Amino acid sequence: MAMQIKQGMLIKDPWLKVNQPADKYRDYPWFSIVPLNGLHDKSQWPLPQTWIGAWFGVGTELQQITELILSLPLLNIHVDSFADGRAFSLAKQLSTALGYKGELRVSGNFLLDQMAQFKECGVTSFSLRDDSDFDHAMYILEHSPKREF
Amino acid sequence: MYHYNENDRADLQARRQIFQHQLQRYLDGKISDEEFRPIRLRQGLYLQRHAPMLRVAVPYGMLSSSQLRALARIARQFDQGFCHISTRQNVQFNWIAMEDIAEVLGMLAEVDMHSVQTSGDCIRNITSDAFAGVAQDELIDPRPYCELIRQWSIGHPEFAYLPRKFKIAITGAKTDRAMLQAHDIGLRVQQHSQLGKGFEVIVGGGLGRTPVIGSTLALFVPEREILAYLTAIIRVYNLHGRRDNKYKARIKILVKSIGIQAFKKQVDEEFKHTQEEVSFLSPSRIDSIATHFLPPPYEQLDSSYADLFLITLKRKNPSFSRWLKQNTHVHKIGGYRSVTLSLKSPNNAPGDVSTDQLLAIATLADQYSFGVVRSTHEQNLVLADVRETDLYALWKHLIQKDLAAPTIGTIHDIICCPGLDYCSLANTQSIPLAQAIQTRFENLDYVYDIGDLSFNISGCMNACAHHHLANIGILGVLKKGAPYFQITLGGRKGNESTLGKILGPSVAEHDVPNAIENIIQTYLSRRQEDERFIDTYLRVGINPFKEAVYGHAN
Ligand code: SF4
Repeated sequence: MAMQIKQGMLIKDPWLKVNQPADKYRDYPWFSIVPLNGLHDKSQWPLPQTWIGAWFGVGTELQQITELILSLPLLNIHVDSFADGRAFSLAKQLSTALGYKGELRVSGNFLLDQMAQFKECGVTSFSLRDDSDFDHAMYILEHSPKREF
Repeated sequence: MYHYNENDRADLQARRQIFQHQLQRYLDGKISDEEFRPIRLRQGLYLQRHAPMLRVAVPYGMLSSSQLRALARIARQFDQGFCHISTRQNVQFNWIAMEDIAEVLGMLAEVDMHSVQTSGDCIRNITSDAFAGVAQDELIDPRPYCELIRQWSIGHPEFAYLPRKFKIAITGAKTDRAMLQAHDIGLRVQQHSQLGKGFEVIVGGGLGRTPVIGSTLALFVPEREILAYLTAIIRVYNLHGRRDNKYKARIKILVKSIGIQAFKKQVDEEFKHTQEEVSFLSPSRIDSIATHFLPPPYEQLDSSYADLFLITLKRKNPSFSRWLKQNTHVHKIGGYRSVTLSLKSPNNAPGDVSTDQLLAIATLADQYSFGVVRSTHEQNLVLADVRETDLYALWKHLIQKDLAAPTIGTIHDIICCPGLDYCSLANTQSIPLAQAIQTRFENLDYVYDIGDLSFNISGCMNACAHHHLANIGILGVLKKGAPYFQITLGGRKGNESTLGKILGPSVAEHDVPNAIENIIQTYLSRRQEDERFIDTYLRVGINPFKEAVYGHAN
């Protein structure tokens, strides 16, 4: 099981990212993080599984995040390049304009050094590669200064 | 000027410790060059020709004498005895070894200075009018807003990885001395009869490879909404600016491609949300910052006495008289003047200042100008609050330190980027060309006859010396590997910002002084009465200058 940092703690990650959308949504195992386009068939909702999340890239438009998607317990922004700062604005929009209250996660090719910034933008968990320097990740989260704005 | 409180210091300390940790990880080989790059850049560290270039932030150009002394110590101990004032009012060191960086950052922190966000694709140091708070034409002192936006933008979590760098300038004067229209965002502080204080917001200006004059996005945004409005603009840019091509990634390209109206619509839409999420600016917050910018304890001076005093000295001493005319400026308080210390002596590279000079300036600032110095985007320094009766004594000191070249605003006051001598992006050298021009126009009477003229030299398309906005602009290019220089004429900064026009084919390095001489001669032969270079140019057009340089107008 991979690791995640959630609410400032390093813990085992029960979730598994699924790359291919399934035809029948009920086939997704529990704790799957499913690509956004694998959830857009409204006729298959409500989902029988309680624990399903959705993942999407940083270029996702807000209109694609429907009420149904917002009802999921986990949304995961997947970062291809750490230099692509759209991830921060997207996280901010999800957590504020769309008022998402579930677990907001970042995965992919982000820098551990960016974690405090993501957190300030409303991200609540991070999925980390197995070879990550967990100590550095915790250091960044604990020591980054808080802004007043 | 603004004085750090305990929170500011704790914040700076925390950022510095994190960077040291990151630097150590890099030096230990735990992260790649690619991953370290954005971290290093956000700390103002460029990998240049000789050593990393460290760019130190000078918030809106304000420096205390103790900060100058710290810069002098760093220059002496870790550099080659000088530093450079950049065209964004910052300070650059070119010779600091990587392993000394942590110690240098520590020395800066002791005087509340840092290099955070002086490079990288983030919101850069806020720039302003070098005469803020003392200019006679100022309506509102912009510095409290500069400081507010500095605090807001440092470490901004959402805007640390923008498509490209992002520059904000602010002024509160009638005359724009901060080049608002050449910035990603330019803010003009205003007083509205009903709505109180607020800002005209200009967006999408910038020079570089695609020079654009910024357009007005909003005529008036109330003070309390400004942070929410800035958030909306930069969020739209962050989400929609191009990331596939770094030459097309600035906000100006986004605004140009969709048009200012469509851009405004997107910003207004986003503003609905940001108004909810960014708390309104409370008057007490800005008031508490404004207490740092209260006027210093000016004396009530008898200007007529000072006038008499200066008239006598001027009569006796023509050199002093010239300096007084060129290098000092009217002050809003009677009996005081602002003084520009020229960093354009022909003996130095433009904008360079030595340890010895820094220490002397710190002492002069304490003695004559309430301990504060300002840096200008023209790469000079300013003592803003000097009693007129002290001017002669100050001038004597400045002469000794080679800081009194009486040529501010003339063809000698060249704005010049570091070019190939330091910069790894450069096509050509800039500094030797600046020196060649100064040598060609050696005779000061001739220089005064030519009069007001802006002359800027950039060593490549990045246009760090803002050559597009110069009356005479020079850009270094390569032709089959050889250095050539493209000349532009007619650029203007300020309220009537205009991009210069390319005169014609670029000229070889050794031909540039002749070409400039021909341009100047054309101006002198065509000018009417006291017309400035730019006015003659506007009246006669570019063709006579083309003929003078190329022998024909086509
Ligand atoms: S204009 Fe070009 S050469 Fe000059 S400092 Fe900027 S990047 Fe370097």
